[in-house]
Amino acid sequence: MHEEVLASVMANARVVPQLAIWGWQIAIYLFLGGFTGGIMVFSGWALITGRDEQTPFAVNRAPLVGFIALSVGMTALFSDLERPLHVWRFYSILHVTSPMSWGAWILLLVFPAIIVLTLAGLPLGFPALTRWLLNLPVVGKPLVQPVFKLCFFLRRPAAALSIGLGIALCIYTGILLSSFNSRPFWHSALLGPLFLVSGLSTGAAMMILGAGTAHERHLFGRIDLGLILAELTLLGLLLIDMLNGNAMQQGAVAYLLGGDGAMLFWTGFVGFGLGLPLLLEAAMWRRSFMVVASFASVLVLVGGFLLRDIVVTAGQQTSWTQLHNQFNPDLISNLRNDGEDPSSRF
Amino acid sequence: MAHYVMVIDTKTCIGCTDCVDACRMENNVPEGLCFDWVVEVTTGRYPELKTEFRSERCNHCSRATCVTACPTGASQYWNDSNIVVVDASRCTGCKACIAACPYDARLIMQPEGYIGKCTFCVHRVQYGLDPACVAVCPAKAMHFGRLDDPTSEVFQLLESRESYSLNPETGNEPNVFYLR
Repeated sequence: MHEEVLASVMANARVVPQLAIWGWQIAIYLFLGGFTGGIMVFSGWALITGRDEQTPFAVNRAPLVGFIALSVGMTALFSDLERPLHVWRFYSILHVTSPMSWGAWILLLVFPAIIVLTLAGLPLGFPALTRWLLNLPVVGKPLVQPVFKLCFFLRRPAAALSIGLGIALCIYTGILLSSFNSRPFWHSALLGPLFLVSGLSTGAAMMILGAGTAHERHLFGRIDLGLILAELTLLGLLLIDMLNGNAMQQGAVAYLLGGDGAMLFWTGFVGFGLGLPLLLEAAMWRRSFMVVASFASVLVLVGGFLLRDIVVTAGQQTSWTQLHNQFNPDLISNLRNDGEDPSSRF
Repeated sequence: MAHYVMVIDTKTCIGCTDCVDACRMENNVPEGLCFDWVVEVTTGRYPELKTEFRSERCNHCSRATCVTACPTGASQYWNDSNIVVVDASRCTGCKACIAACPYDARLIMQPEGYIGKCTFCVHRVQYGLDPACVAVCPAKAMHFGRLDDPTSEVFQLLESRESYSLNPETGNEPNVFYLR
């Protein structure tokens, strides 16, 4: 027998559940970051290959969706910081050993690229909004119009940059988690490629949802089919990696395969997030139907979020400290309510 | 490079958790949390059971993953030693270091929001004093000093007695040692 019992309190999420390191805010950000990365890759690709006519949504409208999604994601990320006013500290240094530092700088480069793509596509994609911007008092004609022209002029270099930056944005979120040796479930290099493929898949799903032409919907439907297959393959490899990993990795994957996280993992992510859209897209290989394709795309988007949420949660289920805990955090409030001032104990 | 280590004698530790209380008073630790904690380890088979107490804290690793994971450089080594400290003015509270610590030794200071941890009481160490937990230990089970000094007490203890550290297989090279 070997039993380790915690005799005092400890700052550990398995001792005090409220101390979970990262929660839904980070899952939202990882999802929306990957989603935006996917949109940037496909918009950039459509622009560079001159598919303005065939894929009008990807070229003209999608960048605005990506810009809004990334802004929401960044807000979620910002709200998770314990010292939000210190956010500028990320830009006082590039700490080469920290993937989070790389991510902060990637985000700084992503915003100008996606803003250029957004403004370049605005006149054709959202004519009413463009007219409103051009008619703004004072700044309308002298400022907004030249900016539109400049962005339209810069759109091809920005598109080329977007492909690279989109891939970087998708993959860094996975590398960020996989760099933590101390969280066994995250410690697999497969997380980077998995998040990349999932990000591209959600980006393609957005193109299907907003598709301007039947051709565009069909094209991205076929692309998404391939991406879902790739995602399933990488997920399988990750599970094999974990099942053959150390005891802590096996413990974390058991939480997904048969433990408390199993329902969400099997039914939510594998069933509705990957399996069903895969079947629907495969059935529409020859001809795409708007309602079915949109339904499949929504499922892909939900699946993309579930993947981030599941991975963030599962990574925090096991760690190197394996203790039996006798501390009950609920008792602290009893201490507060017994009429004594807890700070005056000493 | 100054190599500070803590050596804790599990043969004399009585598990009184005085080190935990001393740390709370010294470092203004948020209520309900602590920078150090005591673990009671029972091994063997009834009736031949063996119990030892372990006072655990940040291991001030020589290769600390919390330092490499910090995006702003707030988590850093103090004065070219192995003592890991957090520069509160540079800390954004992103929690990357909490995720990176295999020993779960880091916590969020309330209400300020920066990341707190055991500092080996660096504010005492720089004046030649022992950390608060070592200073109050009523069983004299805790020892603190420099491993790079062969005349130091900790060096002699680790030379003469069998010891172990926690999860050295993390590759972090932890610097809190327990005498068997």
